[in-house]
Amino acid sequence: MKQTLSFTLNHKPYTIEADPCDRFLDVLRNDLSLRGTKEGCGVGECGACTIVINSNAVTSCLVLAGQADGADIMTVEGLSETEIGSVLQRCFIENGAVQCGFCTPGMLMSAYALLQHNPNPTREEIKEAIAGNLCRCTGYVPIVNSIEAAVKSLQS
Amino acid sequence: MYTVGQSVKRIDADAKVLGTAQFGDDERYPGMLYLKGVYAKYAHAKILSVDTSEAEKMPGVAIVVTAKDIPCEKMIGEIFIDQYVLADDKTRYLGDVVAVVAADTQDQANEAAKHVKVEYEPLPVLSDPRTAIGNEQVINPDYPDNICGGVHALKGDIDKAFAESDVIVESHFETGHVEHAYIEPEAVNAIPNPMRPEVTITGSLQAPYNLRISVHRCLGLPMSQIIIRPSAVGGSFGGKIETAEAMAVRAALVALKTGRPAHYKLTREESITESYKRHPITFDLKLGCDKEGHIKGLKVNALGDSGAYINMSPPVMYKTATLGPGPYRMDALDYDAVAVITNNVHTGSMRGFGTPQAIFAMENTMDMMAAKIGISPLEMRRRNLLQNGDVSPCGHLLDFHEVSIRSVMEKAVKEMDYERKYAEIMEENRDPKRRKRRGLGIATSMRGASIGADGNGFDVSRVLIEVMPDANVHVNIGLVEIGQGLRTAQAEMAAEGMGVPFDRVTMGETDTSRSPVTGACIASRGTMMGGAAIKDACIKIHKIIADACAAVYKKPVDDIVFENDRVRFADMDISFPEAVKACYDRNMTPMAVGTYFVPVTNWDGHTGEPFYTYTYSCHVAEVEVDLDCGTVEVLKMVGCHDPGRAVNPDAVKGQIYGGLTMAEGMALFEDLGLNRKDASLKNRNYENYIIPTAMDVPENVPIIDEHHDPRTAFGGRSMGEPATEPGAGAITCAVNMALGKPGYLTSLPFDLDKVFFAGQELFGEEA
Repeated sequence: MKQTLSFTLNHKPYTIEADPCDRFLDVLRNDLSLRGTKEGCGVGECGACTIVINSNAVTSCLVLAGQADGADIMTVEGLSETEIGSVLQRCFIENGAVQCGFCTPGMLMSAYALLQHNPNPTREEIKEAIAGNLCRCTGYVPIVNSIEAAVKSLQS
Repeated sequence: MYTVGQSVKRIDADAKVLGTAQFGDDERYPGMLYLKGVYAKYAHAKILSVDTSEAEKMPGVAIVVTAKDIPCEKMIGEIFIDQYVLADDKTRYLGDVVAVVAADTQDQANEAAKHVKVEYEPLPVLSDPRTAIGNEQVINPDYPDNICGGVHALKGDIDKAFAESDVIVESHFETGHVEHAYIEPEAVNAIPNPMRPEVTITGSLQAPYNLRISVHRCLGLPMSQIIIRPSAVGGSFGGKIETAEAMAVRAALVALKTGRPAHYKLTREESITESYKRHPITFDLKLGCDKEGHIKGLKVNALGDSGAYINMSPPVMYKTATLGPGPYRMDALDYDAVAVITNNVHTGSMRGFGTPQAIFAMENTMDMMAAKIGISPLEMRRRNLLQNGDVSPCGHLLDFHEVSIRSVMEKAVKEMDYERKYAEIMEENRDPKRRKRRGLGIATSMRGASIGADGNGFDVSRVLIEVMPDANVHVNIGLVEIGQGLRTAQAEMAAEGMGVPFDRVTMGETDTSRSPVTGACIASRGTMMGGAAIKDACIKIHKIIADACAAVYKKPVDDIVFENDRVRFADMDISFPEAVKACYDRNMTPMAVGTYFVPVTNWDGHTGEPFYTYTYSCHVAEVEVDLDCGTVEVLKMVGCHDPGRAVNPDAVKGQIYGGLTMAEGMALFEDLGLNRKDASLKNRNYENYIIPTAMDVPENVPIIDEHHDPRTAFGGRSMGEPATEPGAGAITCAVNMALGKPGYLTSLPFDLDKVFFAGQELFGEEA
């Protein structure tokens, strides 16, 4: 049964009618036409659907719409309007983190959440932060390099 | 100004970081139907009846289609036409689809699919290729012994070679199914044209022209009215060809019958159930050497599991047999590779195409031989690597380009600091109580570029380049971007070929109604074959522009040069845009189709020149094995490759990084959990099918060792497959060295259980 849900998404207020038991991933992709967030496995293992809710990176295929009520949510579509997000996007491009691009939105969101909590992560902490995001193209090293470059860029 | 050789920014990078890139599942069309397949209940069964009546009455359902609705041919295939788009008389594996439901929403389609009633008469399931050969159960009547093809590569006198050998090593190795594991599951859309019988198909499609043939064959539309436009493809690695094609034909059938767009995506579980895999292959090897370790002869029997459909099995066996011996000198070769039809999931093209398995078997056997002779694995390879003027294992005289494998291997071992580490590890591993033991492994490869002599005469590429009136060079090419950066490399080659700056080139998205038919982006041929076609088109357009300039400027144009956005005559120099304007002013058209085909090579089916040219590669791995846990930590991998000329060096490195990691997964983790009783796969999502994460991958090092290839248009060759093929061999050799017994573990993956029990067996329980 549909209910009214209110949340902040990419710094804008939203009020929608949705079944609170729907997956929030489907709300984003189907109800709100925000299809930058991808579905790779549907069981929270691949990380392609990662978004940031209340500053935490979560897999949106495991989030119910009802859990979004009252939350502050970021998706890849809002990233370029933030300083951390736009620097990450630039560094991903410059350091070879993008190949097929399907894991990229989720990977960026995990990196974004990391840098919000920890502006100066070690290489090991970066790897831990993206350990839930699978990538089959890049071999991860260029992605870790990109996030390190973003850290340096944000500090200077 | 050379664009080729520059790491220019990927042309699709912005859209991919912004989240605006459109993948197949991101597309929505007005009135769109959502599709759901009904999968086979048994891997091998007669279909007695399919009752769709109840499903058709479910809410939102527009149509349910079965094999009976396909108006023309019911089977597809790139070479061997044996794959049922929808299962007709029988199911042949658990990924067969019996019916497809189309409804207004995905939930409605999912629900209605449960109400399609199928009556089966189960048949015995053949899941082991060894018992399938000659079995009374025949899966495909055209192949009564269930053997669907293979290649027997032969050179020299193998019996004489073994008789002359001082040392013989015999070995047995096995590999399992490997999933491509592209992060994007398959998704296609079929959009009917309301004006005429025409359908446009988008989505995760690696081989658009092959799909066009399949739609033409099954649905009877003229090829001009089957328009294929691949979306952004979320990884493929050889995997989004036949499966995505079958889906696209089903979607097009729904679209044409209902007049509504059809949207069809697979869940991960469906994708793993239905999509084809890397071939499991069992190998029996016999290697003979003199007492110094020089190879005299190699004999191999390889048995590949084709699964239910032939797919690419014979050409895969071709590469196993012709490239499996590696870049090693030998007097005699007898390599027999055969593929067998079973009721397992079918197997087809996957990055490496039959070579990662063969290299794994060969390199571990090389280490066994080195140990028996008493030399290091590195020395064993140094004594046998091919060099300029040598004859390859299959009989190819290598006198046409730099046979760079020695240079490639030495750079890799230097980066690894192999010789110091090898001495150190051998010393520390002498302690039998040591519970964490390191190992080093080396594997090499020579990869035949593009298809090979089994496709002699059919290896072609085409491109359409149009120079617009504003002097923008627009490239339409059907070799698809599948994530590797091919579009950007093609643009770089077009800029250099045309003699214009990179930003003057635009790349059309592949569209079969605009880009001329071409061989597909497979077989590490996209850069090499695309580049040669681009060069041909540029030469033709230069001629058109030169003729126009001759008429307009009344100048001889024999020595005209196109370079740096200028067009230079003997005594005049105009800008490229001025020259283009001259062309349009004379009502001439600076547009051309470029065509390239690989020269036919001398191959008699067993020996000769199996490929036109080769790429040389070496991977070196260092691992640490924990005997008490069974874990293998990869400490470092080095991948050194000779791509001829690196068109975009950063993209080449991207291929190497990704290839090393894919090899690590194959070597250590990846297992689909085949149950041979019912041919089912247990591990159908990422909670059980384990691929490497950022935590598993060490600080790998890619190295490019360029030696321009005179046999390719821009000196470069493609890097997709070379980047992964030796890796599993290197890691497994390292694990077996750590265990102190080369060739000890013999079946992939070298996972926790196998390594743990090997440790118990060899070194006992913890003291």
